[in-house]
Amino acid sequence: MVSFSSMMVFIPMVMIFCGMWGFITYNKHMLNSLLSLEFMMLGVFWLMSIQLTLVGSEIYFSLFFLTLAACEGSLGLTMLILVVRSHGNDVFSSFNLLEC
Amino acid sequence: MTFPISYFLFFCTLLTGTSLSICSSSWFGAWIGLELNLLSFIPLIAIKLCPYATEAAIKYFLIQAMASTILIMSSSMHMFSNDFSYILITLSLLLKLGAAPLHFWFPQVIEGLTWPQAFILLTIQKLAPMFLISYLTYSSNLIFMITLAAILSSLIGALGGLNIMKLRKLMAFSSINHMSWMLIAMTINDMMWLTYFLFYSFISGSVIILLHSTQTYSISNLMNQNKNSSILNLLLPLNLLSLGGLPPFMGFSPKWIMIQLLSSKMMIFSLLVILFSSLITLYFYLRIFIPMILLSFPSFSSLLKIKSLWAFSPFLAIFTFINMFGLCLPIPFSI
Repeated sequence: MVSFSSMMVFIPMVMIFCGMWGFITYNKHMLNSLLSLEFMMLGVFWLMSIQLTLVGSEIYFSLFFLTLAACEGSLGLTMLILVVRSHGNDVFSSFNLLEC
Repeated sequence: MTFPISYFLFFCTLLTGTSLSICSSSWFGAWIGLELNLLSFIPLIAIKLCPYATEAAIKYFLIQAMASTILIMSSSMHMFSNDFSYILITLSLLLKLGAAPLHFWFPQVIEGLTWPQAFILLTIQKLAPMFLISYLTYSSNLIFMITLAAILSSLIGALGGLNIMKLRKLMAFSSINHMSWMLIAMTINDMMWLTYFLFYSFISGSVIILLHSTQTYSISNLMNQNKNSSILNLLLPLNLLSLGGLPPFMGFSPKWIMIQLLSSKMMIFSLLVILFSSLITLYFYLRIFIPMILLSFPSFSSLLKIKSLWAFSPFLAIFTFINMFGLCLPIPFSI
């Protein structure tokens, strides 16, 4: 059985929660949200690399992860372009057409 | 209805993502399926450059991306702490589903869609997270969380729809309410929630076909229907009563099964909450069509063109027939 030291998991978790904090609170522009989303993905990549290394599983699983994270990031940038073309800016307070 | 050929491709990958995440044996595979589902649903929403669709696509994308990030994070820390990671996975799946404490994105997103996209969001997009939640019902903590989410979503689906004049938001709140029945069925039995889901998707599909064929988006649109479609004015109340679950219609039978199941398991409290809140949803369905009936023309009853229904849409006729006589469906199995 592999023994995990708690610090090895703790530091990537701090990184992910910093990214989530940024995603939730600092959301004036949409680009900021996309950046913090990618930051969270980077933290997950770190966590997953540690886990896969310690388990002795095959490390190329993280390549699947990176591929899908890159797809998601590029879709986010596409959404940024779409919202700039339709609304004129990417400020979140202007996305208020659909509120209750 | 015409649609571009890329719709077909994206719809196929959407179904592929759903089935991949249902069939996968690891949380990583489930994550890949959910991501594929998300990546192919966004182009289906945002195919036109319209501010409403764009905004719905952005809100959907940000919420779902965050939920799937939490899912892959907590499945990576699964070996470090077991219980906490499963709690986080359940929370992220509830966020993806739009169940009650985490439901705030759902009515806003559905307001920007057209009716067929709203149907996909109401039924197919629910399928993968629901299956994944139903895999998680083994420890008492998680069952408690899912029961709590079910009770909260029944209350919120009932109370949130009271002040809404837009039909898509109303369908969203009714979907939140029906989701509470599915979640509470999930804690008991794996088969029951799937049965409820099939019945629900059939009935909401019939309502959505009806509303899509008249391009109705709010209650005030319903009042101004033209005279020729008076048969549709008759069909909409029947379908909505079936969605609310009144006894002569098809929507009653899954609720009947669920009431039987819950009372045999002695879960009286949650059964009471869910039943009372679905009574409130029946009130707001009634509020949709009672003004429509009362304000329709006096020549309404004499001008019914029964024959024109089949010519109007064969799907609509079949759906309405099954909706009205679907309660007889379980009878051959019960004898």
